[in-house]
Amino acid sequence: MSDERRDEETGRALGRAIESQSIRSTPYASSRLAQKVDRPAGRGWTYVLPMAAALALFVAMGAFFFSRGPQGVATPDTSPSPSMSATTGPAPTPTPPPTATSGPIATESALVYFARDMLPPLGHSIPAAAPFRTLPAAERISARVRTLWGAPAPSTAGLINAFPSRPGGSPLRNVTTTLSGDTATVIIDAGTWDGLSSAETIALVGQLVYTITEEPGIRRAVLREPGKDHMVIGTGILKEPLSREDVNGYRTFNRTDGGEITAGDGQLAADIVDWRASAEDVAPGLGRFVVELKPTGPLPHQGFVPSFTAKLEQGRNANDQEPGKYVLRLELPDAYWPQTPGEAFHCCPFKPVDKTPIRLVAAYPLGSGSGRPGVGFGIQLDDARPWRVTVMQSPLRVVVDIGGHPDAVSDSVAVYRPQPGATVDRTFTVSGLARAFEANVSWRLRDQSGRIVANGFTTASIGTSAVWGSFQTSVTVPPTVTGNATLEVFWGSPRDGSDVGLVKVRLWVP
Amino acid sequence: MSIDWRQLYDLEYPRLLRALTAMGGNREAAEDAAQEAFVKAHRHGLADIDRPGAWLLVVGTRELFRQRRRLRRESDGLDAAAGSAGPSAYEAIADRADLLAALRELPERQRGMVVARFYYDLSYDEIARAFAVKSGTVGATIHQGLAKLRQLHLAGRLARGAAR
Repeated sequence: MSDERRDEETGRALGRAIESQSIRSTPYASSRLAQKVDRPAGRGWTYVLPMAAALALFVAMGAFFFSRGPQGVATPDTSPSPSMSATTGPAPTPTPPPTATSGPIATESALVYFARDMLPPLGHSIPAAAPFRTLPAAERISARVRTLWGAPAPSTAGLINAFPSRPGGSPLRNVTTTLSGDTATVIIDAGTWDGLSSAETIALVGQLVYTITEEPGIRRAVLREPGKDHMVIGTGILKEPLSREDVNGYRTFNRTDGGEITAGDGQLAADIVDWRASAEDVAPGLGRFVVELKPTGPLPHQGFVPSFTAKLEQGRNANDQEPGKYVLRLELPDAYWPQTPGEAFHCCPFKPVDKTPIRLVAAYPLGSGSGRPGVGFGIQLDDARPWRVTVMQSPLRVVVDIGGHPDAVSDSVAVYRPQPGATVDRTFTVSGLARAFEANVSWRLRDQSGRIVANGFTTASIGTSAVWGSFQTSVTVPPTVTGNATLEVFWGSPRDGSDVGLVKVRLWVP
Repeated sequence: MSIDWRQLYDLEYPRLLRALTAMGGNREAAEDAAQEAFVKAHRHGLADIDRPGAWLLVVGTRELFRQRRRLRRESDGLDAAAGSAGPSAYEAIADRADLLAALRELPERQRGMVVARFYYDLSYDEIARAFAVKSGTVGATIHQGLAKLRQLHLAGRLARGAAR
């Protein structure tokens, strides 16, 4: 082989090795660049104009979105109002406790968020110093942050508390919150946060943003150090407002437009037999809502899809009935409550879940008047994540899945099993949902050097449709393969055969 | 001229971070250097930069090596951080990790140019312009780098085979 050819081969192998490294990319909003672009020096100013225009547009859109927002929450306002500012922490008056631990006996509970490796934060109610619920909104946010400080993480499912990341460092001296529109600016006086690893940074920022925006009507958090216009956490300088969607780790999701899908194989009246919701049962980070239907006549064909519309929209995020930051509406125009003679539909039953990402699901009639209206379900969500709808047979069910492991979810493939990071047997089952061309779902297994050591394909229950199909197949790991392996699930583009919807699930083969 | 910095960042940051992680072996240091490269691009302005990706690579590489010289003592732990070591760390060092480890044994300039050629797909002329050297130098440097890489890579494989 010629030198040139050998060089080329070595170089290409190296290129592939570099590409195969897993990285955790700092999002633009937390990058140092974003801070510079935000406040440019010298000739950089020309580049800011488009961003200023975008911001102005955003504020205008915000005014539109929030015009039907909850009562008592100020309309978007770019300048913080001093009257809405509140400080909790050491104050001249002895009322507010400096920290949760040295305060009065806790008699209330506060919902705060804990971190999980590579997964969105998970909410948990923990004891909080009273008074809590009756505090003004800004003080309640400060109190939540103080409650989270040093709180032991619940022992379930690998939760950690990264606030503070290094116990025994600076104490939490003060937390001050100012509200402006849907944005809370929180000044945390607790020493410096530099020197954290990427993982610690992501965990800490995620927990703080979720905990701060837990307050109804608050969607964005700005973090500050005392006397500064930013906060340094690990390798990021945080300056811009961050929403939950900025920090929850889902990369393939257009957060401003959750989309809307309409599907159905024609009219067929069906009774609603059951409806139920859960979170974290099927896969980590996944909320699931299921409506079970009993058709009143025979199904026209196998694989029948009942008519429905599903749509993600901003929630009112206002009270106990409508707590969601977002609402996913599933509407079934041909589905009915089983009719009891002489009894009308009682509006509006709801079922609480109270587990991230689902708060509760409430049912409502579609339209009013005589006859039997169809039924809608409002799934009240803590944040916006990629979502998908599938239909399962015998019994007939419409299933709405929200989220999943961020590493195992793309816009057309969601792998539920095995979970990223799992230790697998020599033969293991792969299952999930996909929206693939002609329902063909492909997979391949790579060993730790990136070589393909096994591959295959399977057929999803539904293909080329707005409705996702479910798939399940078995993978056998060749005997020579041990250690790190990556399972890739995708489908082939009918145009050029390229991988579409590729997800990569990291596995460990003992 | 309006530049969408966010777009540039989203497009170039992951690639730059991978290249710098491969070259230095330390994720935190790579991230730091990549972040600095973008800040420098912003300070410099992109008006006279025709290939922002290549420019960011060169500046990021310089930043990375500057840091490393400052923190030379870290080098012990660096290479282990790159191979995602599982319970059986030795087994986990396979071909790909060997190649990356070998890359980190090359002199700094060879490392940068090899990555520019085979990960960024830049031509010799583009590399010469970006690194401010003569075009002929690029070919020779890359060839030396790859020959050394093959040697080191082979040594790594032999060592692994012998240990089994």
